[in-house]
Amino acid sequence: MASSPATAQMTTARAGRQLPTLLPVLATVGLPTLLLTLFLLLPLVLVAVYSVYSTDPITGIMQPDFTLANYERIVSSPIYRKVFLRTLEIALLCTGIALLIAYPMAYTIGALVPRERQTLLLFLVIIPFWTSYIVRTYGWIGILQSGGFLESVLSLIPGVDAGLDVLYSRPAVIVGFVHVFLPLMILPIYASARNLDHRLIEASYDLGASPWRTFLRVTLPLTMPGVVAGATLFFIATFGAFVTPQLLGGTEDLMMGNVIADQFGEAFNWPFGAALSVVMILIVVLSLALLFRFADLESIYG
Amino acid sequence: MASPSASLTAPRAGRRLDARWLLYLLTAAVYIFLFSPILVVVIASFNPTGLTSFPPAGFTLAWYADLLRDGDILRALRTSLVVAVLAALLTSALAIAAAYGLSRFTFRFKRVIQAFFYLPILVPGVVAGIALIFWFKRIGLQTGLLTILIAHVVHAFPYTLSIVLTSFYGFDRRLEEASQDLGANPWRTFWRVTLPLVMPGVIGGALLAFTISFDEFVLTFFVAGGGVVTLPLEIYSRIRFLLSPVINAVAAVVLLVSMTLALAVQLLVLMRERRARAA
Repeated sequence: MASSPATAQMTTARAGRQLPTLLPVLATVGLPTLLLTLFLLLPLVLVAVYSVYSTDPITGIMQPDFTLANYERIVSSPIYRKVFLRTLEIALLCTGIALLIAYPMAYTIGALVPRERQTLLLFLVIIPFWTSYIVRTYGWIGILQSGGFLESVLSLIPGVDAGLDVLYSRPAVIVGFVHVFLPLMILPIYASARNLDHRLIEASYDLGASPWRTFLRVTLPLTMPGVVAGATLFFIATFGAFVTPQLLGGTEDLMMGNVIADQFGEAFNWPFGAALSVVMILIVVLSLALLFRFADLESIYG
Repeated sequence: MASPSASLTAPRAGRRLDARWLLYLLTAAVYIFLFSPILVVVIASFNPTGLTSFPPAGFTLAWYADLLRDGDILRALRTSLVVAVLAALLTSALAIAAAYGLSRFTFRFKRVIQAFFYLPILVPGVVAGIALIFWFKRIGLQTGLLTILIAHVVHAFPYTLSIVLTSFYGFDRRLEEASQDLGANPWRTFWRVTLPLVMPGVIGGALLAFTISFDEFVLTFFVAGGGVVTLPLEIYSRIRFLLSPVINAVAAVVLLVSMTLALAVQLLVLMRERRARAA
């Protein structure tokens, strides 16, 4: 995504000289700006507007209003508070697990494997990521269901009586999340690990630090921007998810995304669904604010 | 770059070598984890019992034959292909326009606009989907093929843009200047010089948009409105309501399509990087 500063400066100079008018800008950047304004920004504004509307208690029809009742319901109702906290808990837990899995792998690819082989290894991370989310989640049903792949493989081991009942449970949801979003964690950490200055690690060893101490005091701080970026992206994706808990979880694992979707189906309460959506957006914005506060993104992608 | 362990003393190198093998082993395990659901689906699609158990009971193409007789699935596949082709064309056209503007001109709020272009990545699918239904109802747009297409283009745009934009920054600008010096007008320069040079990126971006659209589920789930069924919607409803072995075959076909395209995108990106480095 980065451009060399030289090119950028050249562009600036030439553009300033040749095309001082607004028209070429409108003709190029204007069109996509219009599209995103019409079909992302204004719809989101409408969500915010609807979130303070009320519903007629008898007909269930939405009415223009200015009420904070929908937000109050999220905070005061034990059910929705529980869903919110559960969503937070699952998202944080999965982020932690994904970090523990992704870090050693991303470090291995970025810092230990020779450069010319890194490309292939990255391919193998990116390709499953661009492969149908639904189908990959469906694959986990096949693995985890009773009589499925995992149970039948375990039963091949003599002495193991695998009565496996994991599908539609919290562990299934966690496995599903860690799997579908893992590349979001791996790629930024890889980018940090690739730019690691190995001389600093050598220096730490030469000064007598143990491998563990070297990792904690040198390697980890140097790769921290990647860790923070990966964790944020992973957390946002998990927090807003809908498919994974819907297909792999039980009723005790439903998350905010599922409750939001319900407001347009069974529950049918648009203003309440809108208020939940606003809360979800706020969580995303908050996570990003923390990301920009604590990580220098240029150092990862620069 | 020199190997980091080159200057180490022997005992230390030995210890770190062990750690290294542990890391390689762990990495291999994560790759198995990443590909396991994909492999399980493909194996099951050839299993006569239609189950995902291991080892499979034999080898059959019966589920693929069933797939070819399944009208709903074929219809959904056709819908998905039509939407994905249109989405790829529209998204890449918009991305070319945006990348041209961003790489050539300076204007006020450029950074804001550029950040705005990446916004669709950050909005959770459920929220974006609901926002779009509200909006389509509000402006009186009937849900169907058009609304699905709009949702897919908005969603795919930032990913395609990031690939196309790198292409626009990545070539020798003097080639354009030469064209203009030789008397070509800007329009002709764009078609004859700029576009051919950024083509690998544009094709990569278009293929990525195709893949995203072909696999897109959450937004489609909200904006499809019941009348139009894409392949992911069909797969989802069968997973939830009637788990039949045909789904394994369908899933395997979807995997083949999206993995091939994803590979092609990566190869095009790589090709462009190599070319940029050579230049």
